[in-house]
Amino acid sequence: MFSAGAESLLHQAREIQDEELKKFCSRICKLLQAEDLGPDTLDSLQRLFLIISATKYSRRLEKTCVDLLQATLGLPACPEQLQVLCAAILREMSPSDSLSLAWDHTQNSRQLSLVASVLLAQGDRNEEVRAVGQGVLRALESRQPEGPSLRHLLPVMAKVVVLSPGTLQEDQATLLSKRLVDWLRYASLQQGLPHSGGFFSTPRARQPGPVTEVDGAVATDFFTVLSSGHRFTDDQWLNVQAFSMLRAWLLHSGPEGPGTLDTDDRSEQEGSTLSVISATSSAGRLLPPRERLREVAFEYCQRLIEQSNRRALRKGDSDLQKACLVEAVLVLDVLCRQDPSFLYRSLSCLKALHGRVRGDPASVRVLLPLAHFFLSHGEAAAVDSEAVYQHLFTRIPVEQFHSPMLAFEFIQFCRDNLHLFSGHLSTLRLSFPNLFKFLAWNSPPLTSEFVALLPALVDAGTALEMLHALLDLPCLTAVLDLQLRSAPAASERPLWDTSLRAPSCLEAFRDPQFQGLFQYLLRPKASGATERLAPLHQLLQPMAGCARVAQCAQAVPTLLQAFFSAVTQVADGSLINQLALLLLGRSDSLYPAPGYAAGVHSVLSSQFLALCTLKPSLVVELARDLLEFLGSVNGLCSRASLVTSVVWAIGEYLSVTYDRRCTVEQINKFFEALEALLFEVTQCRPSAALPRCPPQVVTVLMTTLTKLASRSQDLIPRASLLLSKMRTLAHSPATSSTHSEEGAEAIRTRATELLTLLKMPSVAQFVLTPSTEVCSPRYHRDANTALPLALRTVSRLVEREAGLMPG
Amino acid sequence: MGPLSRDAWAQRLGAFRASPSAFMAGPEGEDLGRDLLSDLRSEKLSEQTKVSLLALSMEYPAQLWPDASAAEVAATSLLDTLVLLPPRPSALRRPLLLAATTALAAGGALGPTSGASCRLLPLLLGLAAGSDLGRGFVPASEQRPLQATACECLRELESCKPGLLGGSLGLLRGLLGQEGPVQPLSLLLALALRNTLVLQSRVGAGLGGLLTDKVSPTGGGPWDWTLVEEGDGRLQPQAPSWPAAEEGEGERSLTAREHSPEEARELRAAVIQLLDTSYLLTPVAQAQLLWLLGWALRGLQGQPPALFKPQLVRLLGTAQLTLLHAMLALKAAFGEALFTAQDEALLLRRLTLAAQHPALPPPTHLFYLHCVLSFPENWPLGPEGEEAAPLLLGPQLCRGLLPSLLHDPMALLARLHLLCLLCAEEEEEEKGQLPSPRHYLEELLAGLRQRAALDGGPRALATLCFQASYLVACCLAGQPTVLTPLIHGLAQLYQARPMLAPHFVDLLDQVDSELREPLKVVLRQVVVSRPGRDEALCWHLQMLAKVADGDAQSATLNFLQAAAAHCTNWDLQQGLLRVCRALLRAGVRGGLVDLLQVLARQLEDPDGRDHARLYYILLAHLAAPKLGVALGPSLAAPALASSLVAENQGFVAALMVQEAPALVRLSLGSHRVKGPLPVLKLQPEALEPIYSLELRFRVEGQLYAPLEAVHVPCLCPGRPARPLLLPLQPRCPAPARLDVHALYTTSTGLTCHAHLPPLFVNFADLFLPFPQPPEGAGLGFFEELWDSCLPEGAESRVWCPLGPQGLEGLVSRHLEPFVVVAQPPTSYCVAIHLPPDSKLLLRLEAALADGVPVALRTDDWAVLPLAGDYLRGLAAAV
Repeated sequence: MFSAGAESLLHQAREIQDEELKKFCSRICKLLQAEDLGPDTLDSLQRLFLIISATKYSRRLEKTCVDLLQATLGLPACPEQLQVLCAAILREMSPSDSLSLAWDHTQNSRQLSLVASVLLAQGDRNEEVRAVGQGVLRALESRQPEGPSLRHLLPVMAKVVVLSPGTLQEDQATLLSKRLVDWLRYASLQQGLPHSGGFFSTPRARQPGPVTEVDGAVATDFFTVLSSGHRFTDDQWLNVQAFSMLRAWLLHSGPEGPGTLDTDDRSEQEGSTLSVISATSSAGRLLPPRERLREVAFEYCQRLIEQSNRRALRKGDSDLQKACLVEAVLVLDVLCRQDPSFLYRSLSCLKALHGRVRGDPASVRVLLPLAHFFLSHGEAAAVDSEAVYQHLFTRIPVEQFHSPMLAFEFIQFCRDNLHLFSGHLSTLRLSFPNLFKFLAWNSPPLTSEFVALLPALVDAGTALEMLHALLDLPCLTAVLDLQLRSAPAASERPLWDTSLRAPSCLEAFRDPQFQGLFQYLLRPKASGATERLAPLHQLLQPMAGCARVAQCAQAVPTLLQAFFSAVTQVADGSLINQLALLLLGRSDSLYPAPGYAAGVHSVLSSQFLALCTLKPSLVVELARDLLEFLGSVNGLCSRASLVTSVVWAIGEYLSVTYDRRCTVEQINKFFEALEALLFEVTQCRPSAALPRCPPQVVTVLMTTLTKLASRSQDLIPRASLLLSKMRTLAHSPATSSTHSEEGAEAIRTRATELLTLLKMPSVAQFVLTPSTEVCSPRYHRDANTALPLALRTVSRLVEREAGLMPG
Repeated sequence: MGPLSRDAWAQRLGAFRASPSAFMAGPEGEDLGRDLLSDLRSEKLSEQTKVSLLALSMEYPAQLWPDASAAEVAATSLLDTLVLLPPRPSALRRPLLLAATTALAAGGALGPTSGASCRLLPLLLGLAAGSDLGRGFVPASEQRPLQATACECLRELESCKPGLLGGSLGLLRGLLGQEGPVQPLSLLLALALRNTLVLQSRVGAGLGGLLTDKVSPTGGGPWDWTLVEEGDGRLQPQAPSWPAAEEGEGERSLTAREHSPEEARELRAAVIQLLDTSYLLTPVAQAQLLWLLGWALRGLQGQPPALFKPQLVRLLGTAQLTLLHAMLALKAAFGEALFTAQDEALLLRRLTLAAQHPALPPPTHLFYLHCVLSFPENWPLGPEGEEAAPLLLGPQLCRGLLPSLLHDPMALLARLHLLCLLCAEEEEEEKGQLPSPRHYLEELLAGLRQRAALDGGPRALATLCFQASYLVACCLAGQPTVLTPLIHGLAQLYQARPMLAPHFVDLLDQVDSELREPLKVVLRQVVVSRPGRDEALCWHLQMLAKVADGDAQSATLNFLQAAAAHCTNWDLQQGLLRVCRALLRAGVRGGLVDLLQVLARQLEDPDGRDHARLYYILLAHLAAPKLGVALGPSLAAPALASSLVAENQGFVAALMVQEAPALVRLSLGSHRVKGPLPVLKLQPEALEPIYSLELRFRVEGQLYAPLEAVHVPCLCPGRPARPLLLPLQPRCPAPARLDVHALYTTSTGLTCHAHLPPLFVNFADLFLPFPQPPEGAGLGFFEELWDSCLPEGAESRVWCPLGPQGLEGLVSRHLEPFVVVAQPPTSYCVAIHLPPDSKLLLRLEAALADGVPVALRTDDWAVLPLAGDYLRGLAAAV
């Protein structure tokens, strides 16, 4: 994003030590105290601003320095550039306790706006917002001769309105509305005069012409943002600024705001004749100011839409057109919400707009507000907006997934409008593969959005496919990267890791043999089928080093957590079984991104346990698959956390208490499998090639075997033999190379404990298969339920020497 | 298989030497010994190869011939080979002799029944005597070397079977006088003499003529094994060292018998003969000789140690370490009999000065220090085995021997040992002008600890520090003035560098309880006082598992609780549980149960969680002795408690319900007026935690229907309990008294029974409102009720005094729910339903300054006086 030079400057700024900064500040203080407002000061302040803004929040300036900055900001003779810098630094330092900027003393409106910006950044601790708002209003009301003052103050006003909606009183609001109408509608159509250049300026300055449209034609109607000229007059500037604050103002003074009375009045005036005819003809009549403002705003938006149709001469203008379109649609949306009569007037033009825009990939961002419009008003307007969504969800992500801005807006659009989707939720749910493309390409900014979005997307029907898709997300990133690389040169290349070249991958991407798999991965909609992508994992291995893939791999565990917490809400018994199977099956077929498997395994293992808690009988039902899983010992050590969980779950839930179908044969079968596994794990010689088997696998295997033996008592001798073997093995020096000293000691201790437990079968059975209430907090406290207390009483009775309780 | 070539043998021997036991276990192992023996006779192999084969058989006899029979066979074969050698000079004779000897000695085949032994011994003796064995067995040039070798072999055999050469003493003594190798003969004679003396005196026999009998035992038939059998192989010190082990027994037996003057003279002559020629021997051999003779003569009556005097003159000035050692051994053996105090002082000075010599190599240096530390004194004081510095070693002498941090570790430790001994003595000495050794010791230890605490310092420094601490703890165990600073210093060291925890654990395992117990307490305090996230958490846990016990439970548990949040991986969790286990074994219960339960629910790893749960269940369910058994085999199994049958006061107490003072208080809450029945609201309050509380109520006088008991699962002091609702079913509308009994279980498990103070149900508690009439119909409804009373009911008028609150206040306070018609502030109509089916109607009108006249009607005569009392009491009631 930054050039290398800027990057290194930022680094320097961030690494400045406090000492150094202090020295630098004292130098600045000296300069400011001397009221030296020359280039030196300018340069120093620029540096200070860079330092302060590069290291957010961690730097504090001394009070003297802050005071001097304030004083400089207040100097009448201070050049504008310095003032702007001072204000920017003060804004960065906010909230600051030692601020003593006086609002009233400043004369110049330019200065006023700077002071106001600093004050507004303080977080309204002393009602600054209200004070600033009132001050600006006074300036507005005073009808000062002409506008430079207002031009600087209007943005401050816009900010005040957003920050503290209740600041303005009724009449003030009315006044502002009126003036907004003026500015919006009646800006002059002549270009502004150039600055008078002083004594030597040539009097032959060109006579200013009329403003033009973006395509160069002379403006035919009133002035708007999209009108262009060489120089703007002040009222033209105000026009632009008024449009900027228009939406916020409308929302502020909407029907639910302080302007409720107005609408009531109007509806009484017009009765319920909200016909199209009356609505269109109301333009000319004299309306209350707020109504009038809406009317003007509507006209303004329509003119903008019309203007955006023109072909812009300059690229900057064409960008501006798009931005203005977005804003116009949003304003229209607000208008229609506040006053449904606008709905019918805007529908046709918006439909036309949609028809025009949908074919143009450059103005794709307009589609989102349009879709939002149709989503919120479609029902009222009886328009079938299905086509809009279809286009939005199928085409856009496929083509535009690499645009970070669009991705963010798109996902936010989905998230914010979830409540409106009620009827179209299935469209949204089915197009999750498309949404995941955004996620795969832009995972860091979108992760939190998706965490919020996933609960709505998850559905019992697509849960399995979605889990697969989540696990394959880094793979999808790699494929998207390949897709972009192999595409013919686009006009604007998205960012990718140029250092990474993987010609073999590109070839594979074009190889017809794998086309099916690639197509499956890039599918736009949920297909209901799942395919094994293991061949792709091997094929795309070289892409694993790509930064985007690594980022995506880091995000997946978080997303998995969110997915599972959502899916457990909707899952029934069979789905839980399927999910558990999928967990086990996918644990060894993951995309080989560095660190990916470890992160995913830890989530999968905890989620496997969560599934078991939800449905303990899962262990009995999936017995065959679990045995198969445990049988495939290769790579077991790399999946240690999952294996630990599975083995523990077997020990915990393979019991008649949880499922009546659990038989002795089943227990014996599991015992044999686990016994074999334990031997395999402990007997393998340590070698550099194989990862070491972590000791917790050994301990959990021992514990589970003991549990099983306590339930099927014929197995006790075998288990005892096994445990004593393990104990001696942990003593032997051969193991010490495999396990650390602590690990070996843990194994030894565990084996000893379990051995002694097995010598007391009755205790073992009870202790190793505890009832579920054991973990309830009151278990050992409450005399009504507490088995422990009862037992303790009995044992006291039985022991003579324990000296019974005091009478 | 034919004889192997030279190269084949070289290869084979290389493989064997690389790993003898592995080679012998392999396929070729069996044949190696046989091949070796047969190939010794082969013509094809050079002598050089054969010598190397023999060297192998000397180095690994136990591997090659593992049992006696194999050894016997091998020795026989070797002897045959020797005999068959052509009569010309050969390099094989001496190795063959040695190999045969080794085979017999190492294989344990030496004995009267062994043919090889019976062949070898005469052969060796003959060779030693230098006599010609006939057939040109020994070429003249080889005579002397063979003689020496034979002596060596004999010495080897004699030391294996002491007493073997008892019969040949005379012969050997005779040989010593003649020409021949002096050293082997001297050593052989000394050894044989020593063994014979010891064995003979043990059986109580004299030397007899053994020393003078110069006849070779071979001449007179079979070898004489009698002495050997008496000795029974018990006399086998292998190296010259302080003969402490045998001392008690040896001394007793040696003094048991006195030699005849004749024997004594012969013996003395023999010893003098040996000593006289001793200067010809190498220093090591001399030392050996002196040691043997010293032991032989020690305590032997009539043999004054003055015999050694002439040698001492030579020895006192020696620079040879071995000779010095031998001399010290003589000193240990004879003490003042041989050494004067001047000698002793001289020796000590020599030792201390030599120990300070800067140019000495470290081993020599250590040797001198060792000699100083275990200096044999002329008059040993104190009990045997007690360590003390030499008496004559004054502080002046010691000054040069004090340790400093710059010494190398071993020297430092040795000097520290000396310093400790000095400190132990210091108590009785008055303070000198020099800094006291104890002070010096403390400074030194502090320095050592400081070095050990250096971050990233080498482990050797830490090890040295702990070795020094251990040494001090051992030497000065009884001195709190030294131990206290040591303990605190160690605690500080741990605080500075927790990663030394394994060293601490090791130290705690090694030292006596005098240091261990206080050190444990201090370390526990150090660990427990620093809770929370720490890099050193794993070390803390390891440490705590060692030092945690029943004391200071709450601090320990708090630490563990805080640590639990940071134990994110399995290893740390296991460390945590190890501490819990230590606490379990120490018999902690209370808070530990809670902690374990929390761990069983919260730990991340399923295995850790499971393990915590296992401990939790064990602790919650098992009694202490059984818990001990379950946790590990080291605790003794408890005796079965069989007191079930025993008459036991507590036994009865626990099964009976006991009368107890009331631990519960009941108070009446505010009146509740909803529902069809009057309900009392009771507020229970407990003074101690009680469980399964059952409250039983009895109404006096059958006024109400019997009341249900109220159950409360648990009451704790300080925790607000939910109010209990007690519905009343009056049979007649009258106040009553309720007797209350409480039955509950205490937290100790006893069931108790208590009488609570009675509860009074007031008349007003029975009031219920009539259903609310529809709006506006209130007056009509009231009039209807008013009228319905009269035919069988009663009417009255009562003066109801008004308190300061006035009529309005009175009504709103007491009668609010029952008001049907209200015209404040003047007139109120009140209708009260009295269960089961009575009513009470009041009209309050026209209040005067101090009261209001109330007209009342009821359909139940019995209610009238109660109502009157109630109304009159209203003003007083707050």
